[in-house]
Amino acid sequence: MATEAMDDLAARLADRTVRSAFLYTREAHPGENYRHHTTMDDKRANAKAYQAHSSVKRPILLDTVEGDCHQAYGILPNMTWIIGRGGIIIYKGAWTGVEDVEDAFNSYMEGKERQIKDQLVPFYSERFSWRTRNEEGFNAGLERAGPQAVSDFYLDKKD
Amino acid sequence: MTDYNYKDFEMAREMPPFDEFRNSLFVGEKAPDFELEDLDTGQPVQLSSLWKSGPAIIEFGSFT
Repeated sequence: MATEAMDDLAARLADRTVRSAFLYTREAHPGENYRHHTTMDDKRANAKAYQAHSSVKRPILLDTVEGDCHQAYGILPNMTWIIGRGGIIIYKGAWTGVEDVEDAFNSYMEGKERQIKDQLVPFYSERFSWRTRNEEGFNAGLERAGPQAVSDFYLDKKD
Repeated sequence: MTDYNYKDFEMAREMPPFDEFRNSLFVGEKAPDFELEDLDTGQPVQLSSLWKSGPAIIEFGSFT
């Protein structure tokens, strides 16, 4: 995950009344060291370990054990959403690509600033996006979770 | 307990063709609100409080 880069983005945007948060979901790749959650205490413990390991600066908000929020927003493991003031969805990303998030945010804010003067109206679109693949970091994460996480992913991938 | 919190990762189950994500909510719609828990304080937090005064950027994820 692009934790540090997203923290940096949050810091850059903080003076524009933008709130940023990390919403903690189920474990994407549970293993012996960081197991799937059966209680909120499980979730809290793993989230605290993540906070300590990654030094994430944004607030961490815990979903319910059943993932009510995560499921409503599409249940993918590392999405990013931008919600406009008042609650309208501005951006939904299937993964977290910091450059794409920042580009979408800036485009939205620029449009809002110019909306009246330039008679702009919003419209819906979809587009292809790119993110950096950090295979080394991903593999380190699997190993950190435990041998089961490694074997689940790589044995499954081979099939 | 449902299988939301799976013990074992399975590619086919956990990474479907993104249908739920594609069809869940759309840009331009109202974002649903949920009660969450602030990890640091242990207090309940409404998701909507994030976008009350300005835009909110919300990243979903986990340690693993």
